[in-house]
Amino acid sequence: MKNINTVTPFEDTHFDRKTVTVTRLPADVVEAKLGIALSDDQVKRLCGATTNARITVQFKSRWLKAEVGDEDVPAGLFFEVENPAYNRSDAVVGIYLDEASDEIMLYIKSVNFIKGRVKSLAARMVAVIVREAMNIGITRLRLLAAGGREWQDFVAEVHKPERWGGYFAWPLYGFDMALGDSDESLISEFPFFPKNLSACATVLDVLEIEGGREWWKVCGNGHYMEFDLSSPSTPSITTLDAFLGAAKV
Amino acid sequence: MTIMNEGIWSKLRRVFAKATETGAAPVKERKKTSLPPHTNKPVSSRKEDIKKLSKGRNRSYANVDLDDI
Repeated sequence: MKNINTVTPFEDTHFDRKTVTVTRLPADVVEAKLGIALSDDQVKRLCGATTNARITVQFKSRWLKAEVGDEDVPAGLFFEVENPAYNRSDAVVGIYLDEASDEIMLYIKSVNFIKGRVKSLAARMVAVIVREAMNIGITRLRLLAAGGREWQDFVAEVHKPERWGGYFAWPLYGFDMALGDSDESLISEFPFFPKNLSACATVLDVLEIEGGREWWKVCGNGHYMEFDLSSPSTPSITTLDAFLGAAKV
Repeated sequence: MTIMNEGIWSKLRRVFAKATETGAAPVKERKKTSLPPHTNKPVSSRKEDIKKLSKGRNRSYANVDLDDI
């Protein structure tokens, strides 16, 4: 975790907590609803807030279809991060209880940095989140990694359709998921290269083999992915750490 | 709104008790919470799911531009 734990000049510049403000709605929402207390600094780190961001903490007991469409966003304590200097729309991150595993998890609902503003910003954001999440005992992060071969373009500006990049970016930062049925049938059409593609069970498996990264960029298909921070040596942690080192962020 | 049972709540408090060790405000005793468990929607195939999610053309998901990775 050397690179994850190192506060780089890049992090000092783009994730300066001293410049970030936190507002709680209502003021005592955490204590009132959950009976727990997170300091402002912890909130800032848990949502990977960028420099000069304004965070609003809100308890969401349910999400409306108008807010999240068909995305399976959990109920929990959510942090909405407003920062026009970095974001095209507000980032939204929350902590919640996962019933199946009885674990406290963190859900990254929305990230939408300004195109071309800062390269590898999301990778360092994940590192900031990971450090704090591990500190308080969260063992998994989850998100919907949008994009890939079956995903339509999205339209951020009129007449300028864009491709979602989450399906490719998040696994490079350590997020993973099992390959789907349609991925596996497609893999059977690639008997020679990438070598050993048919032995891959997850996205991180694919990215590890020669030609796997290129294959996933073209043929991959995004869905819900998770980052395992149950120990300092999980594939998620080692993948993120290696990425940060290579990207020098 | 779901009320968590005591067992789950005990675990929640234990997890966040670690926050105290790292400098957070003290954890308060509270028997009930309104933090509902995350219940997944009925299982549908990934293909169908992506079709629905993808139609939300202006939805805000966790995204990173391919040129900014």
